[in-house]
Amino acid sequence: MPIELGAIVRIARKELREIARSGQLRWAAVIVSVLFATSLLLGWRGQQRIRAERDAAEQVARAQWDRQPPKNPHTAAHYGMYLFKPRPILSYFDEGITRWAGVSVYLVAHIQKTVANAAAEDATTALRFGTLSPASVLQLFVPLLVILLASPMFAVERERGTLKQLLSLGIHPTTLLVGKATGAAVALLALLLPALAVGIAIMWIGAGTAAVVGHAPRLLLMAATYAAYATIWLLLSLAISAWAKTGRAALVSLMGFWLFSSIVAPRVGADVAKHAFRPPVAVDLEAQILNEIGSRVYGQRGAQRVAVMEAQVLAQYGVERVEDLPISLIGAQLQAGEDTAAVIIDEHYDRLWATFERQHATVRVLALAAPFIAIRSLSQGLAGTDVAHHRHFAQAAEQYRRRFVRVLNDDITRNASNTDYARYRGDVDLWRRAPTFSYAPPPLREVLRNTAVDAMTLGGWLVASLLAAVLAVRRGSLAD
Amino acid sequence: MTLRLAQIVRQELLRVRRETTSWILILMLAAASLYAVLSGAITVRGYMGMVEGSAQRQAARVANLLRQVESGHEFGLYDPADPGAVGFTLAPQWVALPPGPFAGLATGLADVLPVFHRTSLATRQALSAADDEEENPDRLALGRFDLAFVIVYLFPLVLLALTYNVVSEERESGTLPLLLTQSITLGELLAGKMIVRGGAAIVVVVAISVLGAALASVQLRAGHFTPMLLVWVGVTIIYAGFWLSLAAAVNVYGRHSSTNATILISAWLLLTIVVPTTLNVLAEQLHPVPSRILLTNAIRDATATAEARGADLLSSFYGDHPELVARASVPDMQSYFATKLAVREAVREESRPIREAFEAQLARQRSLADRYRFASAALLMDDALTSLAGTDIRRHIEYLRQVGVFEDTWEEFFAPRIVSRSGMTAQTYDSLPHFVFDEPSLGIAAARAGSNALGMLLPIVFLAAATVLRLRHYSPG
Repeated sequence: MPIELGAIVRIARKELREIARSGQLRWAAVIVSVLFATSLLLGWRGQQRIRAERDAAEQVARAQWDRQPPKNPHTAAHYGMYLFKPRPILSYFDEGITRWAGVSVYLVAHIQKTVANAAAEDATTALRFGTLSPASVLQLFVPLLVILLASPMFAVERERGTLKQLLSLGIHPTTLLVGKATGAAVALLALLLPALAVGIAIMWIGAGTAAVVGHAPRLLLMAATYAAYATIWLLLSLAISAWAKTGRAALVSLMGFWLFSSIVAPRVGADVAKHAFRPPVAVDLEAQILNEIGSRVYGQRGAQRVAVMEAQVLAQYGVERVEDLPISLIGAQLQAGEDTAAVIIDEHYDRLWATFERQHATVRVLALAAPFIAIRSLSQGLAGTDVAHHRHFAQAAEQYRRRFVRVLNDDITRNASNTDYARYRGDVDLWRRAPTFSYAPPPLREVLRNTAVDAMTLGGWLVASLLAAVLAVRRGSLAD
Repeated sequence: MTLRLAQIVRQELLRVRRETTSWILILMLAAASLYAVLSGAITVRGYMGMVEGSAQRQAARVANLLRQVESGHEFGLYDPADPGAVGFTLAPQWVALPPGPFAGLATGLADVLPVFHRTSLATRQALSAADDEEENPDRLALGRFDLAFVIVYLFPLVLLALTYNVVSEERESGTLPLLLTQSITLGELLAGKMIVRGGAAIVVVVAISVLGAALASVQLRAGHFTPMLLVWVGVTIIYAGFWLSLAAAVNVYGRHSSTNATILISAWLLLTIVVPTTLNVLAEQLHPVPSRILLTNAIRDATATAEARGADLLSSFYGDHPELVARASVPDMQSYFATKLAVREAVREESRPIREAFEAQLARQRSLADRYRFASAALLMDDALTSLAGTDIRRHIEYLRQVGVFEDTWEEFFAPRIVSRSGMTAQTYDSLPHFVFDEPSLGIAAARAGSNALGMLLPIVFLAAATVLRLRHYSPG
């Protein structure tokens, strides 16, 4: 096909004029813009409040740890410490699972606790309707705007008979498609680019230049992802518009598909995943871990286990009596218990995360029929608010817990007496020596690996919708 | 019903039967409802299995302890004849919120809120994490596909799709003036069409609701099933009435069928998606709930003294590891448990005012956010269905309150025995307290559903009045 640039520009201009003239579209554009702006402001405000709350809580929790009176270090390990999940800055844009996932984790000797206290627990049932966020505006409402914009483009012209005229003038159908797509795209960009600028400006004012620059790759990828998503809807709308007999038929079938993709399919996916892969019950999980720590390794529980361990340590140091040991037997026992527990805990939690992963994979299959699911996953991943990030934090917290408990146990092993253990006390010097938790979220590389499937699905949708649009306009009976 | 209306209804029935689109819509609605109902029934059964399984394990455990006591053997540190050992570790009590009247039909927050707890003297549940199923947060965020979802979201769409052009189409095809000359008023025509089309969708949803209620309702006291079901059906019909009256008003005010469709779809989007999601964000900012992480810290601050004292008292038991003491000597387990009990009581007393203040503040903020539901029929309907299903927040708060009371009962049962060092006998085992959820009066849920129904009736009256007003000056041309 020859590139008819002049024709493309003319067609695009004509579409833009029509878009600007339509009262319905103007209203829709205003509503979407208002929602987007509101969601950006409220999202940022809410996120700032929660971030401040979390930072304060973290300091208080650490101070509580440091302020402990002298006590046995292992008693301190049972007192434990709380960690709070940091909220990624881009969560103001896409909060992902944030509300439904826990935010605090209790670090304590012997066992890993799950990250608890999800915000959803304090909500009302209305939360099930979802919350307005910039991401939800782009994922849910922008496609609707695109449908409203593009679904009449071929169908209405066919009804009016102008399509036949255009084609008889010798304009190639593909030129027509490109022209109409360009017109719609320009209109959308005119609406969304300022909105995007506002979003970045809020982040820039609120968090400084460094934050914006640091997140530039993610922001660019997000912009590209959402551009691809909007393009998919645009091409699909044009394809259906070219196929459908009337503008109304095109609108209705596209709305039907929107309903399926963004409202029905995600829920069906979640429901099927729930029945297909059942996660363990929390108490069972903890009870099983504790049972295995007790029985699998030593074969016995309680006092017998202690005796087995004692014999091992005595043999290791080549002495016969506990009093002759150069280290504290109890310290060594406690740490050996932790080391054993670590393996068992990892096994169980890996299984739990694998169950979640399988549930996610089940939902992902539906993305082949519902592009909403793919964009949702991708966007959450880039914002740092998906399950993969949650897991990353939970695992970092657990690794930290193990280092934290080891410092205490090592202190007992080195310093406590074998004859008068009960009197041994750790003090503020030891409390302060406990490492500080500094969390680094997963690098972009890892995020890209985790979301590669979603990116490919979305890419597939892009190619498929392009093919559909081209095929739809090239069929012989386009004008009839 | 007048004779003429009956005649219109008959004619419309014949007509709808020939419309393929209407059949497809009704069948899709039926399929979605059936799937939702079956999925809900499976979920409730799974949950019941979990609760019953733990109750059986617990009974077996207690029976086993009792056998050990009666055998009179020595049992090392954790002696089933020692009330401290039993109250703290050997016989944890499983408490669970039984599924509500129609739990399988509306998930509400049932999969989010903790509804299953393992309690003993070593725990304090009211504020701790749940012990039920580990939930995938992504699955929770994706939403639920239950009958409530079908009724709140999809049912109105089907109703609107069936009725958006009942008048406009007759006008567009030129048959309206003809019909109106046959001594039929436009009002009768509209009513007849709405009755037939709305009725078809209502019958499907109500029938499947009844089926679902039969499948997924558990533990509903006999005699309550039918009244609760009637309330469910009643609010469903009122909700349908809301959307039908909206469609009727648009039909008589609107001009073209396609304009009607756009207006009605926009109304659906507004009421089921835009308004609820926006209100959720607004409510959260205007009435922020107190922070649980700050609560955690505050309780730790308040209990620091009690805990420090406890740590000191417990140090002769190597902190919390009397089994390690056993290497050198036989620890006095009875003093160990008595000490732990004293620490527990001190911690509880110190933290109680903070907990209560938190709960009061939470309740206040929630009830403020709760009023927002009157802004959308969809919010009202969802809230009504969740209340009837027993998966709402109010029943859950009541559950947590009862768990707190049970923990106190458990403590009151063991405390004097631990202090007086009296042993556990077969008789004490028989009188162990058990948790039985005392279901709040179902009338509360029904009243809530009723007030929500009133919230929907108001716009219905308004829309109906607007329709009637317009009908007086309607020109069929």
